[in-house]
Amino acid sequence: MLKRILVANRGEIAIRIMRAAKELDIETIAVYHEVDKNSHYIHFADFAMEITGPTPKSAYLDYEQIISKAKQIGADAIHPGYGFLSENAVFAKACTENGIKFIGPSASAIESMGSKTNAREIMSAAGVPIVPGTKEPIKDINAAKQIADEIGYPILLKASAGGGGKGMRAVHSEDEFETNFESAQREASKAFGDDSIYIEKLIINPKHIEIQIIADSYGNCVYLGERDCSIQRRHQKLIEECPSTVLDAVTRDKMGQVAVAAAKAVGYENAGTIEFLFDKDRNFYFLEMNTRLQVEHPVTEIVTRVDLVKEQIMVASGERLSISQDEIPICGHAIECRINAEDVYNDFLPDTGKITFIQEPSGNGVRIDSGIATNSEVTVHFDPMLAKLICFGKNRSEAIEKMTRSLKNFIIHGIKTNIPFHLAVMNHPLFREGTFDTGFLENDFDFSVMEYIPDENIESLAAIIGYFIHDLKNKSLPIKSQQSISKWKEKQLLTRRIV
Amino acid sequence: MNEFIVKILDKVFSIAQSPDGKIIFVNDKPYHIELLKKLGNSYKVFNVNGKNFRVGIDELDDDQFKLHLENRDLIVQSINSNAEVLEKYMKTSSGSAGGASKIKAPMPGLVVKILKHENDTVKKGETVAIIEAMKMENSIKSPMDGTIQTVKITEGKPVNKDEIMFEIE
Repeated sequence: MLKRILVANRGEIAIRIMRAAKELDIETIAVYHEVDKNSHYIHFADFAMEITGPTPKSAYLDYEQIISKAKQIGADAIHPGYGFLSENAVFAKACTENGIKFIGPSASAIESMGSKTNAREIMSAAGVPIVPGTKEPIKDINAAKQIADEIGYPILLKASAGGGGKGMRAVHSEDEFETNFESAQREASKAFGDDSIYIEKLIINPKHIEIQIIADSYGNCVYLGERDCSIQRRHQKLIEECPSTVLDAVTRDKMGQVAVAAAKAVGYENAGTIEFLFDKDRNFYFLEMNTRLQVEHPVTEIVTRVDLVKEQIMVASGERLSISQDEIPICGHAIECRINAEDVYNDFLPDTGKITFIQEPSGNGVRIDSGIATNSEVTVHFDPMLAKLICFGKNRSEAIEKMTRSLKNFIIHGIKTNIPFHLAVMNHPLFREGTFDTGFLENDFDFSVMEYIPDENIESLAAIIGYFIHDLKNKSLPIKSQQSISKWKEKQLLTRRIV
Repeated sequence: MNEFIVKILDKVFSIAQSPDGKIIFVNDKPYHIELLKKLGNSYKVFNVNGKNFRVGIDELDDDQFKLHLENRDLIVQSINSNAEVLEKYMKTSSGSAGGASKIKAPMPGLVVKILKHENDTVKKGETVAIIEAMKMENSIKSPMDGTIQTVKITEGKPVNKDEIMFEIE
């Protein structure tokens, strides 16, 4: 078994990985850029090492520096989390060359799946259904436009090296092509350092359904149910759940087998996800493979009872999978809401600032994977995701009830969050029916439902403000509220001093 | 007894307080209020006529307060209960008077592209610029129909939160 793991990531996912490592009695190392100095994940680790760079993000992407830190402290493995270096084949290779185990697939598997065009070819050869599109990545706008004409609008532009919705644009007609192509290239170039673009036919309003797989180094590979990630905005997932309302056992098994075949086609080891588009006629098409742990992995962990990160670490340690396909249940229902620092009343623009107060929900059926606390600073340097709220129940409607309750009890003060949006979705008839698709935000969601506050509460709020203003006015006078430490606390402090 | 007016979501309430401070009259209706708990510096639990409210209250400038309830922000304006002031306030707030309007940067970021330039006409909801923040490109949209008077940003240069980007008439 591995002994000391460096986590090349930050925030909630760093904590998630460290929890698993600690349960396996493995020591953990956090790396941090100066701006993260007060972040919770650093204090959670057994060791912490500062990394530097011209920008905070660049520090977390500087794999040479991270590998040298790992060697310096004697780490025998690196877990990359998601984002940053997680799908960087050069990094995975460099780890191996330096005698450090990369907790993830081989560099060659990352490489094969990392290029969208390459991945499509491999999948097509392995008998996995794919969406019609370009075979080669394109940089030239005129050549691209010609291909778009051939495929026929609507089309989808994707960064060849991309993921997470960056560098992705839907184009519905010829006259929208140029602006969108340029925009996609700029985003792709900034996010991945590669501005080549890949064009495919746009399947209108499919569901996004993905299959989790995990494989060991002995050729064993299992699938762990699906995740329905159809509630998205600009291809960024916002809500994920397992199981999906549209999959029956037969289809699940069929997609699962295809996913396993896809993984085996690239000699895959460790955890990965095969993403599919699922259309109205129940056809499914390979979208891409994410060769890493995903943000939304907790919903799978809950319904399958498998700790994916522990399984990842064990597989990386050279052990066999602890589970076989017939031992994996789909038990109950789990939903995840990504809590982002975004202003949902202003086109989801990211918000920044200091979290002045936070209170997390808890109780039966509630899991929170969070990287923030009271006084945390939310900066422009990283993704706006603050935490993941995952709720589960014996069935979908119970999971929705628990999510609604938990969202209402989740207080994050100081910055704007997308909680009002999540609450409105939980209450939306299409979401409740389960018939929603990836067009939900654009076509079905009415943003005005987030505005409603019952009149009786407004009067109470007026009363509260009235009380508060009077209180402010009275504060200029010396009054009783001087007693800031209670008698009980005073006593405690005295006792402590004596001891 | 000092009285004043508060305005929440376009609704106006007159506020008065009993001498002991425990009862607040909202439009002459009594509300028994108790501050049950302070959660950190900014959050409080109030009991209002038996019902509990967990709210954040921030003081802003110009007699404005920001209430935070179920993760939504509500701006509350307070006004001294002077008939004249009130009348004036009601007038300016209800009439959507003409004049220039400003588009401010909603977050700090980098100006990637300016799509509308001086003297261009814009429609409400039309994209005027693209700002990159947190690795994503965000479209900045015009809040109204009008003509761009001045452009105060430059492509490739950063903008600060609340910096004026455009003036529209």
